[in-house]
Amino acid sequence: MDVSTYRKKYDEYRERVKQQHERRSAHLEAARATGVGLDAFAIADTAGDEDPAADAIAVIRNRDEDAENRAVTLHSISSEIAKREDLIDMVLGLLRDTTEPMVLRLEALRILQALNFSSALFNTKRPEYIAALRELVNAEELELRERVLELLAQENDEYVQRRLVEGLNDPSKALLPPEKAIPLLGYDIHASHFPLLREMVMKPPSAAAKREALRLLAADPASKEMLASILTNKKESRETRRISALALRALSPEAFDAHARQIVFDDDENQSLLATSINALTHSNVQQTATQSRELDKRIEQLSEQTHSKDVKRAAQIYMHKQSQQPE
Amino acid sequence: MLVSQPLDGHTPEEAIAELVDTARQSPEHRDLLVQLLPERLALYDGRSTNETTRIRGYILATFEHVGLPSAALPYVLEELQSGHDAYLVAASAKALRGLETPTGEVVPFLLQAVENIKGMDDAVTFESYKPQWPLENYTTALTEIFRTLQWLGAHAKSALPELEALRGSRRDEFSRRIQTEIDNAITRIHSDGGVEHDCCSPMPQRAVIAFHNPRERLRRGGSVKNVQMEDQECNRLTYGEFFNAKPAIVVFFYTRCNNSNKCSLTITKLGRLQKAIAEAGLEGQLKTAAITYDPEYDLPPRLKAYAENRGVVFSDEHRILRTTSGFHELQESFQLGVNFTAATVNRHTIELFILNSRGEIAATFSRLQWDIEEVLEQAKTLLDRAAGEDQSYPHLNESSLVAQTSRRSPVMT
Repeated sequence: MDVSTYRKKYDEYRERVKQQHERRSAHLEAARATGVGLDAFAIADTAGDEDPAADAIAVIRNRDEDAENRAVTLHSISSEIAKREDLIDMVLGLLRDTTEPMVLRLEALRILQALNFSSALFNTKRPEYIAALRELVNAEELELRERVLELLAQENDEYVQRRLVEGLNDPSKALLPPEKAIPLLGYDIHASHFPLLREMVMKPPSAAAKREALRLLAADPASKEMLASILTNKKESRETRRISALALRALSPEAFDAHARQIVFDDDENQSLLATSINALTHSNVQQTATQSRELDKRIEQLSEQTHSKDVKRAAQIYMHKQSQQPE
Repeated sequence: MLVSQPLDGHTPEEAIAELVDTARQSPEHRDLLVQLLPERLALYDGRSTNETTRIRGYILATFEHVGLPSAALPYVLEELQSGHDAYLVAASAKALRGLETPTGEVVPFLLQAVENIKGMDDAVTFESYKPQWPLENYTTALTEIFRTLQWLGAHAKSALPELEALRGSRRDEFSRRIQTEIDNAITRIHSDGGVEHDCCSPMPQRAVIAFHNPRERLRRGGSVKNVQMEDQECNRLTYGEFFNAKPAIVVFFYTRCNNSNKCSLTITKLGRLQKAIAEAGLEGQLKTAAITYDPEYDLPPRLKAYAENRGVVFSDEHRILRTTSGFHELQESFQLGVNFTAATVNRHTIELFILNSRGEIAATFSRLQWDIEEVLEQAKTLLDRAAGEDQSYPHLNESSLVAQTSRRSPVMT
């Protein structure tokens, strides 16, 4: 759904909720006046007549209501939820309740996620929130499961890391495809998944999984040689080599520069990788001898004149411009 | 079953947990659990921080059942004073309930732990190792802290003003469930008829300070004079070239540490210590240095920015350093309380060393937060003795034994 369609749908929801709210207020007034039908508003009334969210709560709790209406109503009282522990408990309950419609549970998760950043009160409910998320790592609905796993991974949660690793080692237990599971392990720099990630590179379950594993190996000093070997292997895909180049550069600027020079002097090299290498050398702080520097300048000038690749030409021009700014 | 082979980084976690469970059934083995706590043990080699946390937390929580030996106290108090992980803090709060005699001296650590953990509490359990969620029952670090205050009863009287504030003006900082625990703690402290008797408790209130005979230390760790180092400006030098001619104060840290009570605070305090040195008129007589545990990642620009942002000043005698070779020798010589994943630190303690003018360790402040005034006082004492022929302190405090254990994990049969 694109943004404009979503916005239109959202405005429609809000209008419907507004109308329902007006109808309910009228009903409530009538019920109070006559004393008949107050049971329907029992939940709302528990918070007292002053409760500004009472009507909305009644809608949210009413399983006979349209699920999308309930979700939009829930969204409409976000600011009230941020201030009330009983409402936070209600939202946590909705999220955990597998009998509730998915649209409502996803909205509950969105609200809790926002409160995690904005509500001091919500901070006091962190254990309940984390426990609820852990409960949902096996959720059947892929969207809910993916979002829960992402949130827990961002918290460096040990349980979710355990489950993700378990799935990478045994695909029958996987919560997500490997190319989606691997990036989630990358949130925790104090994890020790590098041996597993190196294995994923050597025996990749998919090309995408291999690329994701290579990205994370940018933090593994023991992977320098493997990254260099992939970077220099012309049989590897362009994207795989490019990721290896960036990872190697993060780990060892010196080692990367040496390989980048080789690429620049190779007449038979991939043009995209050539542009990446020139860009990296432009911003390199690695010391070169005067002779090395002159040779490189000359080669890049030559490439600038001879190449048919716009990317290589632009990278070469930037390199030459920067060199011209350097003091003699 | 108690294992019959050395524990190392390849020992399955489940085997370690089984060992802890066995010790739980046989409290006579509790001292063996203490031997599993030093960070530097091979047991922790190559493990992730989460693995390390699981193992240590499971051990610490077991002390509630088998009794808390005094040798384990520094580890428990360190976690309460500086820990940011709910599992370890909860385990440490439980461990205190294994004290043979309740003592009010633990109260400041528990109250500090409340402040440390209240924004990052978590749902935890010690009922099983590597639990599978959802769980029927779980606890939290704050729950365990307030339950330990309840357990202390009258011994926690000194906590009452703070607890009253938590129940009163600061009530909004806690969930209803935790407010109930606070109320219970207050009620229990008031109603407990027990008489406080804390006069003889050997609780450390500050960093464990140990004084060393330099020759003894040298035998343990060997020479580190030729260890290659690089400072924040990329100047290359050896350990022996920098740590000589004058006493020095050196701290260890790393920039990727995510516990603000450890490395970030250590470097901030180093900056304050430098100011205190100048104010005491000792500028030029003492060197200061910070050495990273993570030399492959902590390159000079990172080191410089990290220290500058925390108020550290640099000069020829005040540097922030990384080893370019020989970190292992340094680790052995200083008996550093640190261990590593495949790529970075998985766990470390807080440690500050005062070195004599030959670069030998004269004193260590470890595990608990060090106090700037106290460090300065010890450094002054060292300077006063500098005229003597041996700059070592006259005695070796056996409390340093925890820091001087072998990296070999205990073999249990």
